Order: sequence, then C-alpha cells, then structure tokens
Amino acid sequence: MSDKLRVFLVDDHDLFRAGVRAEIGEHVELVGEADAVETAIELIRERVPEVVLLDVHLPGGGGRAVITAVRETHPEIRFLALSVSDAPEDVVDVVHAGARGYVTKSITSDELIAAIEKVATDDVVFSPKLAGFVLDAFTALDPGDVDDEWASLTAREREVLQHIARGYTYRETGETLFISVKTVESHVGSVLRKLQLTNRNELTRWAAKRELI
Amino acid sequence: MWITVLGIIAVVAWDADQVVVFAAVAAVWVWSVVTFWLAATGRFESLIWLVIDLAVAVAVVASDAFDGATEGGFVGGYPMSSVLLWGYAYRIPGGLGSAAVIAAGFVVLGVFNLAGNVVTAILYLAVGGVAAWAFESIRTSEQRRMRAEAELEAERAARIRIEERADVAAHLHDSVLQTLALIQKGSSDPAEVRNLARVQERELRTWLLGASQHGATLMGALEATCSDIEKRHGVAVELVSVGDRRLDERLAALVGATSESVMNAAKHAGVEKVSVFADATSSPVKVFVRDRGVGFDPATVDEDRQGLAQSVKGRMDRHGGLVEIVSSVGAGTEVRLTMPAPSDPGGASHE
Repeated sequence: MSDKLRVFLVDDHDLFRAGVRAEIGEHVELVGEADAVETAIELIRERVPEVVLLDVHLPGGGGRAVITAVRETHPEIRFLALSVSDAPEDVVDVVHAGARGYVTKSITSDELIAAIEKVATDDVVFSPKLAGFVLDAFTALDPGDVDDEWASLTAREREVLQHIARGYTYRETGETLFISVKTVESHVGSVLRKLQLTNRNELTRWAAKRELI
Repeated sequence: MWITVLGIIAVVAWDADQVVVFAAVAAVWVWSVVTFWLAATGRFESLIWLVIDLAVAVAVVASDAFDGATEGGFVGGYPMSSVLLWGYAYRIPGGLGSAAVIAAGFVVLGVFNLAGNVVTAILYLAVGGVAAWAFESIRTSEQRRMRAEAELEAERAARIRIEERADVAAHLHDSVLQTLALIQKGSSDPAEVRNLARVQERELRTWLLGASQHGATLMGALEATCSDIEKRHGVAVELVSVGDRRLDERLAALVGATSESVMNAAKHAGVEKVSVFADATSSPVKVFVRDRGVGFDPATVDEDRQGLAQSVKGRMDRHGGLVEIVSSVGAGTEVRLTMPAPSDPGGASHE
C-alpha cells in the first residue's frame, strides 16, 4: 500500500471522477476528491497527497486558485493539469501558476499513470497540446516587453517542443535530435521554468491577442 | 509638324515681294496641316492621299527649281517625309517608287547642277529603300511579338484550366469518393449510410458555394477537417496548432493535403490516434501528420495510385508546397507538409 503514489483528484464532473477512479484506482492510492476550489484547498492541505490531478476549469476560481493557495502552505505538492479541450490561455495560466504538466482527458489510462509518476518524480509532463500552447505563447510574447533572460526559448528548446507537439515522445525526440532523454527532460524543465517566471501580464496580453484572430 | 515651323521661318525670313514663293510656302503649309490631320485620324495611308502628297512633294521640288534657290532650304525636308510615308504604306516598292519620282523631278527640273541632282537622286533612292526596309523589319518583329504573347496567354489559360480540374478531381477524391467507399462498406447499416450521405452533402454544398474559402483561418479549417475525420473514421485526431493565418488559396490546398494525409493514416495505419501539428508562426507554414501505425515502404508505393501520391503531392506541387513522407514498416508514418505563405502572419497578432 505504501509504495503507491498518493493522488488527489479535483474535478467538477462526477462522471469523470468515477472514470478516473476506475482507470487508475488500482495503480495509485486515491486519497481524496473535490469538485470545487474551496473544498479542494481544504482537503489537499489536510491529506497532503504527492500529486494532485486538477481540472483546468473549476467553479470558484479555476485550477489556478487551487495551486496558488496550496503552494503557499505546501510547496512540495505537485499538480498535473487535465481537461477536455480548453482555451490555450487557460491551460498556460494553470501551468504558469505551478502545474508540472498538462494532459488532455482523452489520454489512455496507461499514459495517465505514467504522467502521474513522472510528475511525482519532479519531471515535467508536456503533452503535444501543451507544447503547442507554450510555443504559441512564447512566439507571441514580445521580447522587448519582457525581462529578456526569460523571454525567449533557445533554438534547441523550441526544437524539442516542436517535436513533442508533433506527437513524439521524449525518447523519440531525443533519438531524432541525437540527445539523451535526460537532456530532453532538462530542456522541457527549463521551458517550464521560463514560462513560470514570465510576467503574468505578458501572458494576459498574449491571451488577448489570441482572441482577435 | 516640322514643315509648319519651316513655313513660319520661311514666311518671316523671306522678302514679301517674292509672291510666288510665298504662295507656294503657304500652299505647302496648308497641305501639311491637312496631312497632319489625315495622319491623326488614321486615313493617311490610303493611296489617293499618298499620291496627292507625292505630287505636292514634286511641286515643292519644282518650286525650288522655279525660284532657283540652290541652298535647298526646304527641298530637303518635305519630299523626304513623303518618301518615308510611301515606304511605310507600300513597303520597299513604295519607298523606292516615290523616291524615283522625286529624284526624276530633281533631274528633269534641274534644281542643282547635274552632279548635285544625281547625288540627291541617289540619296532619295537610298533613303526610300532603307526606310522602307526598316519599317518592314519593325513591323515583322512586332507581329512576331504579338503572336508569341498570344500563344503565351493561351498556354497560361490552358494551364489554369488544368490546375482547376486537378483541384476539383483531388477534392472529389477526398470527399465524395471516400464517402461512397464508406457507404459501400457499411451499407448494411441504413442509419450510418444516411448519416454519411448527409455529412457529404453538406460538405459538398459548402465547397461548391465556396463558403469554405472565405473569411476563415488556417487553424479553423484544420480544426473542422480533423473533427470531421474523427466523426467519419472513428479515430482520434489530436490537432496541435501554433499561430494562425487567414486562409488563402495555398493554405486551403495545405488543408486539403493535411486532410488527405490524416484520412490515409486513419484508414491504413491501424491506429486509434493520429497527431497533427501545424505551425503558422513563420513561412513556410508547416504541418506534420503522424501516426504510430503499421507504416509502409515509401519506395514501393505506386506512382499513379490516387491516395497519397496524387492527392497530397500533386496538390502541394501545384501551389508551390513540399511533401516529405517518412515511414517504415512497423514504425508508423509521418507526412511533413510545407507551404510558403506571406511572411506576415496576418490575423494572428496584427488586427
């Protein structure tokens, strides 16, 4: 029992929670569930899971509110965001707040378990969608406006993200680019750090631009 | 025009008592105005006017003879222009003939001394011949140029027609033929058949009305295409997009090629999921269609098989795009499409 990961599930759709329970219940220890921001914060602080599966959209402030509040008291708890199909800005916002990755709900059970394990060991889970969103955000950010060190991705980081966006796994990406999986992971990690250090106003501006398409 | 100027100079310069000369100059001047008007209205090339013009030219020569002027003040100009006109209208015979008439005038009327008359006559004949030849070659090259232009135009029109035909063929192949194939496969399920027919009808209508080409964006079109394929083929299509652009003819072709590639993966790869990544942040716009299915050996695919070869490659080629297919048996397939686009990612961040 004790070697299973302690996972907490936050989602406002009963049906989805039931589905996830059935899919991953055998492989992880589900320590609790919540369907709204307030109860989620309270219960997560009480149960102290290793990983929180967090819906991007939640009544009462969204996934971001949960992450921000929990990290104040429990910075060691990791978050994996998931959703059906969301606006890029909402997803990026949750990752900006501190989620260690993002997957879509269409993910298979095996992939979801693998993603939870990755996040638990402090790796970053970039699904193709998230890679695309992040590329989009960094492309739109005006380098002149941001503290430059964090403003832009290196050519290599961009390349890694593009491969992930194309559906390549970390391993395949490494093979194609002739680098190790560890190196791919460290590139992805540094992308995540850059994103989280980006001024939130910049992201808001990016979101506003997207609306105008 | 020059004769008018010459006439005015003559009138001013010459003494008033030279009445005959004055009258002649006046007559020539009037005729010049007439010829100018004829030329301007495009009627000068008819034979009758040319004959009159030549007669006037001879008269000018004659008037100089009467006058006894040897400086050739206005002998030089007017008859020469008449020769040029004849050369223009009646080619080399016209030029030489009119030159001969005027030359004969010089000799018979004895404007200059004998040597001078002969030299002048030869000069006129030479100018008549050369000018007529020059007009002729200009005319010929002009005709050749016009003919070449007409041929080029016809060729271009034919090529556009062929391209349009190929686009229509590719579209029908992607849509109607695919649906008909599906209907044949699933003909035991009436509800399914009805549904397919309905989807196809709507799609074809939209396409015929051209609605899909207007006011849309690349990613919007890809989104619609991918979800349509999901519905019809029962596979998950994960579309990841970066940036966006207004849909133009080329990008519409890119969408068509993407659609065909995804459809191909859905039908032949034997997978549940197809990944599509589209990057419109820079030119060329790139699209990657990837599956982890059975794969194939690209070298063994028959050139004229409609599927990938014609529909994807042909369509991309026609619009200046490129296709690269990376596949191997057992390891899945990736179709890489690149299409040049205006450097400004219009619509993505500029409006």
